[in-house]
Amino acid sequence: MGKIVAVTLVLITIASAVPILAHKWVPPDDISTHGYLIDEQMSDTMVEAGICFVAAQMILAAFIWMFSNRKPGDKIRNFPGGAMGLVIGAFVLVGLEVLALGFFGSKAWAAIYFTPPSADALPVQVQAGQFAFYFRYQGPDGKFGPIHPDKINESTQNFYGLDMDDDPASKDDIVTAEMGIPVNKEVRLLMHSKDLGHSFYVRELRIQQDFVPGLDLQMHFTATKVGRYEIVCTQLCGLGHYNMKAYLNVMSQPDYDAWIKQQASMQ
Amino acid sequence: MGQTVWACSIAIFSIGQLLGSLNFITTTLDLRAKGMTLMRMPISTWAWFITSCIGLLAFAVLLPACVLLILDRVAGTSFFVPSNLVVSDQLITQHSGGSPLLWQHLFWFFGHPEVYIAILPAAGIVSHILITSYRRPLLSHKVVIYCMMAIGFLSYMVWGHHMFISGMNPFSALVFSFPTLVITIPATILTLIWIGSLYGSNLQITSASLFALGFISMFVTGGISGFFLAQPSIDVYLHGTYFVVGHFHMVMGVAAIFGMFAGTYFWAPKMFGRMMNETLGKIHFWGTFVGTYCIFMPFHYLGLVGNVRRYSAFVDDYLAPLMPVHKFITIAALFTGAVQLIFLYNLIYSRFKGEAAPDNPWKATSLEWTVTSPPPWNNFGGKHPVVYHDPYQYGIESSSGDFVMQDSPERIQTVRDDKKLP
Repeated sequence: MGKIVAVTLVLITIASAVPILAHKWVPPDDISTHGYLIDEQMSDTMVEAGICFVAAQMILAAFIWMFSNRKPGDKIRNFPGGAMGLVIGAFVLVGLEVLALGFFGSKAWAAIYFTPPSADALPVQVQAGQFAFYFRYQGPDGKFGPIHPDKINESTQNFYGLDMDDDPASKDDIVTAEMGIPVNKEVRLLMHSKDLGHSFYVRELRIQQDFVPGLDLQMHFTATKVGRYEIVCTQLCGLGHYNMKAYLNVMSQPDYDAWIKQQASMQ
Repeated sequence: MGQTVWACSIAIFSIGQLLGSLNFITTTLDLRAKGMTLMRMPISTWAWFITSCIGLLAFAVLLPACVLLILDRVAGTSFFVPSNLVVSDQLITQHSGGSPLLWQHLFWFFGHPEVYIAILPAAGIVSHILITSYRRPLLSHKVVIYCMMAIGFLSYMVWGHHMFISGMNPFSALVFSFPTLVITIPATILTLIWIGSLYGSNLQITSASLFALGFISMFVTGGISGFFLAQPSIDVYLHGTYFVVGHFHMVMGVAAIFGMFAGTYFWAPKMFGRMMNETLGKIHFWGTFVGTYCIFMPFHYLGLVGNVRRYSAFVDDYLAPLMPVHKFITIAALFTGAVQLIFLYNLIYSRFKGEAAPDNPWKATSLEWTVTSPPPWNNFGGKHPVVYHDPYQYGIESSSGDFVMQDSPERIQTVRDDKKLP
């Protein structure tokens, strides 16, 4: 029975590792300027984690194979080096490994979160609510009009609670259901939630950030590839959560200019 | 209303856990048998003791957090609800100034230690069963206990790793990331000691030891995916995907349940006085072990592709190519669930019709195996046992075979901490 356990363990280990080695299931192609840092960190971690995983399971399997059917005369032996050797080994090998991962991982994190957006980044506001995202652009005046939560009304399509009569800054604001951005242009995303916790996840952009009620949060990123990508919510926000999504439309600058003009005319 | 009842029940549960932890800590410290020094306690008892210490501190935070939540819901306070929220076009006016992040901090300050509350007793049970099955002591009994203590201690410094993208200050993500990575060290030492002690042992394959060995495999697999999630930069991509689901089900879900199964097969004879069926036990193990890998390894792959969790249906285009994987997982889950019926049948059938259990079927050394199966009234039938050495005297030559019971005054060769005989 011990030998069957060992063989099963080896087979499970191989079966688990093959899809990773074959790159069967991998993240979609990165379309951001910071994403390569995350991808590199991920593949470094995959190598180290993979070695640990395979080594640990194989050694476990080998020892089960060797010591599960011993003859009555066989003496109990100690692992060479004893506990102290293993403790030192764990501290040195694993300690160094995780410290290295930690340090390099911090660099990637810092590149995303500790660098401020450039001054000419395009500001886009996103509001999350059950179960849709709405985006707002400043319009020609370069200002967002103030939000009046009591004026939010889905039936009149006043998703942001804008006061078109009294706030001059609101008049040219453009509210859309799809997020259009120009390619290779930094975007400053201003995030707030209307009702409860949501999240903003674009796999290709390597970006995920929660919306927290009562907090105004910021992200910034640059998309480098034209295309349509899905923005999905990853925080359970109610029955319609599975269907809460919007599209990120990355366009060339002329296409974007035409798109925003068209959106403005539809307000 | 339902949510309020739920919060109240969690609060009551917290009170129960607090009292239970206190009871266990005081009993462990005050009511040990004569000669049972702390270092002579079985590792399983040590694990319960450390778990109780963690529980005492963790539930002490969850209880007031629940009280605050209930107050928010019924008494009009605003600990967690900010102003200007709009739900169904209605402005919420009765709340202002609260912080949902505060709730997340309070919850995860409890929530992370809770993970170790789930896994440490299993680790203790598994250590105990492994020693009995290896027929030798672990390479170091003390290192295992210290590692469990270290994991318990570190569990209070890492709650923020559940909140990397929650909107808390991004600097704190780094502060929480390092202790999380450091937990790898005691966890690795534990694993290396379990595997290293297997070397040169005389492994006995029983249902209990199979589940204990399966625990090691699961613990390693689930622990290693923690390397990814402990790093905030990678968590940005993997947070909220199936990768997280695969990770915690492996390490604290299935591994902990493997500990429970191992413990059930091991101690059922003592509890009920009847042996469980070993053949059925082994079939149960094979189905569960292979089934579990078939369920939870693919979760990691789905997570790598960015398949989000918590979806009741997939209406996306990009998830469509992954549907075969989901189908495979569903079939594996139904299969693994069905295998548990074998366990249930075995447990109930053996309880009434099983073979009568001898006092010490596993040739184990700890005190519960010195009494009849099931134990007499008052556990020891009114007598007070006296303990002469630690419970890990295996792999030696003695009058009883290759082991010496804890209450046997027999002098043994491998004396480790027997200097102070009672």
